[in-house]
Formats: sequence, structure tokens, C-alpha cells
Amino acid sequence: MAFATIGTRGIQAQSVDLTSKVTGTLPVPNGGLGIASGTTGQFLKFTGTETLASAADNAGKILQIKQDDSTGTTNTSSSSYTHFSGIDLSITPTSASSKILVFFTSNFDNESTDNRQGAVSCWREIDGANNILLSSTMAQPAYSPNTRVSGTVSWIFMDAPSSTGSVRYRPVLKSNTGNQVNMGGFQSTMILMEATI
Amino acid sequence: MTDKTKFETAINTLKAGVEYTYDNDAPITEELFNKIRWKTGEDSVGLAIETTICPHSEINYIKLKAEMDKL
Repeated sequence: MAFATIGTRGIQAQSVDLTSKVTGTLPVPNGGLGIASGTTGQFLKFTGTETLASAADNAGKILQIKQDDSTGTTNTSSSSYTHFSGIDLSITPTSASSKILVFFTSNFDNESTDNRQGAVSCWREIDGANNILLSSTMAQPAYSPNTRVSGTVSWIFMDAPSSTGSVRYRPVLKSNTGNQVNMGGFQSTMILMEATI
Repeated sequence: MTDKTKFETAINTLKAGVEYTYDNDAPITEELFNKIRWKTGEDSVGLAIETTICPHSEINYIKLKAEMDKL
């Protein structure tokens, strides 16, 4: 049993001076701390500077994570986006209000010194339809005039599919200059996280 | 000269400006050639419409190999 100590003249006129006359750790007093009861599964929350109440946890959470990896390469001279074949990842949100955080990293190579430039984005569809590009261009990697550049390309996107259907994501790439560029060849990774905010 | 460079050079010799996509190694065999995704158009969201049947009369595997062998 826990006890607190009440100092000299700590009790006056049937009142206890908790702020200056009581030391030690206070046990939960009979009657609680300003709340009569809590709700199972909820948390104790300050509802004012000196009041407490039972409340739901409304902080953001990661609900599920999906990952796909590839060491393959896709080479293209296409001036329209084409699928990066190595990665094809789907997630089924538990709630239509969930956000999907999309992370992607790979390697991009402009293959030559003749001013080639590529672009990357992400294609998404829901339940096999309604496909879109999440952005007209996520990045324009590996571009440097008169220099061959091979280096990391990565992007992050927060999607709001507003669906509990199967949401499918595929990286796409294209050549802005109409000659061959490539993506991949080393470790490529896409990660999807369903989050509440 | 790498196989990828030879392939690109040979393709552009046969027909300049051809738009294609292939995965992994350069398509130097007929089997790989038949896996090339040739662009034939673009859909409403900006994705290439592709076919693995080469739509260019100027290009086939025999012609491509002949050009690559010159390099």
C-alpha cells in the first residue's frame, strides 16, 4: 500500500493542502483523478490544464506495410511512360480514409554523353481500373549535359486512394530525349505503408 | 561497344526514332528480340501502348542481327 506524508498543519479546516504540505507519490485517491471511470482500450488524456478524461488514441499509425524488390533493369527509348518490369505492388487499405505512403528507390542511367534525359513517375490503379499517373513527373534523374550519369533515383508520395479495393502501384520511366535510358540494375525497392493521420 | 549500344545503334540504322522497351540484357537473340515492347501509341494517362509484335516493316531480327554484326 502506498502512502503520502502530510506535513505539519497540512490539514486545515477539513482541507488537505496537496500542493505544499504533501510529499511522496500519491496513490490513486478514492474517487479517482477527476474522472469516475475510463473506457477499455482508450488512453488518459488531459482535457484541460488540470483535468483528465478517457480518450481514444487519435495519433497517426502505420497499419500495414508492403515491399517489393528487384535487381532487374528496364531499358527504354519510349517518350511515353512504360512500366518498370521488376516491381508490381498492391495493397488493400483497411479504410477508405487511409493514406498510402509510397517510397521508391532505384538506379537510373542515361547511358551516354549525348545529353540524354529520362523521367520517372508512378502508375496506380484501383481494382483493375481507374489507372492514373500519380504525378506527371516524380523526378528527372541522371541528367547532366555531355556527361554519362548513373545514380540513385528516388521519390516519395502520399496517395489518398479513397478506396478499400486493391490498389496497385508500378514505377514507370520514359526517355525525354527519345534515346535509350535505363532504370534498375542494382537494388530497386518500393515500399507501401497504409497510414491513418 | 556494349551489346546495348550495338542494339541501339543497329535499331536506329534500320529506322531512326523507333521507341521500344526491353528488360535486362540487350535483345541480341531472337528470343529476347521477341520480348521487346514496341510503342504504338499513348493512352489517356500518358502510358505507352505497347506490343511485342514489331510494327515496323524495316525491322526484324535478321535485319537487326546483320546490322549488329557490322558493329
